[in-house]
Amino acid sequence: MTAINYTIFNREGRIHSSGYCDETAYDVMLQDVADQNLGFVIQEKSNHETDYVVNSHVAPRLSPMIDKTEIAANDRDAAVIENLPDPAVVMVDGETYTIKGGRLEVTSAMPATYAISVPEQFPYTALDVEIVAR
Amino acid sequence: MKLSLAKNLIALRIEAKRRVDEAAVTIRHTRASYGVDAIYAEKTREAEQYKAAAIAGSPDLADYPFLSAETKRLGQNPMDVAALWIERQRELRTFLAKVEVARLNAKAAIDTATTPGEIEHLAAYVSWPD
Repeated sequence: MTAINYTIFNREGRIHSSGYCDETAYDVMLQDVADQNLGFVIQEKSNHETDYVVNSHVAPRLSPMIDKTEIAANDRDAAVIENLPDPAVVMVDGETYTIKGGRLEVTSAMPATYAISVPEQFPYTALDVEIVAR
Repeated sequence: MKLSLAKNLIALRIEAKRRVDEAAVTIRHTRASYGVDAIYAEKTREAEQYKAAAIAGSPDLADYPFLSAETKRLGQNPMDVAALWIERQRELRTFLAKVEVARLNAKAAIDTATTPGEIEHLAAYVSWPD
């Protein structure tokens, strides 16, 4: 008996559930998915927290990344956040900015700790980080 | 895109000065809490009036209810009790004056601080009297 990996996902690509089963159970599961309008199924394994489905394949979700969390408070030294959604909603100390281009360079002339938050914008994961300007 | 970050120093100063005021209230209450301070003031008023009256003549202790009660409780001379209250009130006023100076100095320093770290430090480490 062959085990079949499966992933159930919605139109957006967000994974509802995943697992594996035999062919008989797979057919039943397909029927259940259709009956309950759960979305779509592909025969691939996945992790619902870290993956999503794009072009009918499982892929890792996209994650904003920051290169450093300490900068010199000289308004030149920059921390760079890349892999942002475009446009991206970015919150700095609770204030909301719309960032275009998928990349943000952050500088400061004022020594302080700044809380930067990029809320989840599927398929991008969230980012919460503190940048310290010294 | 580039973003140059800065803190709103005006808002930070307002919050820091609010904390200093709050801390001053707490410190004042370590010596004289609400209600008790009014009693202390009344005792001092009686003590001063009694002392002045005693110098001028022979005051009736019954006219000074706090002093009368305390004198009976302690079995002491009313002049001694009055002198003690006046001295304690003087100490309290001296302490409260020091708290007030510390509060005003801290707030003035916060007004001229130019970084969030300085503002935070000034609010957190006020030179309160012992």
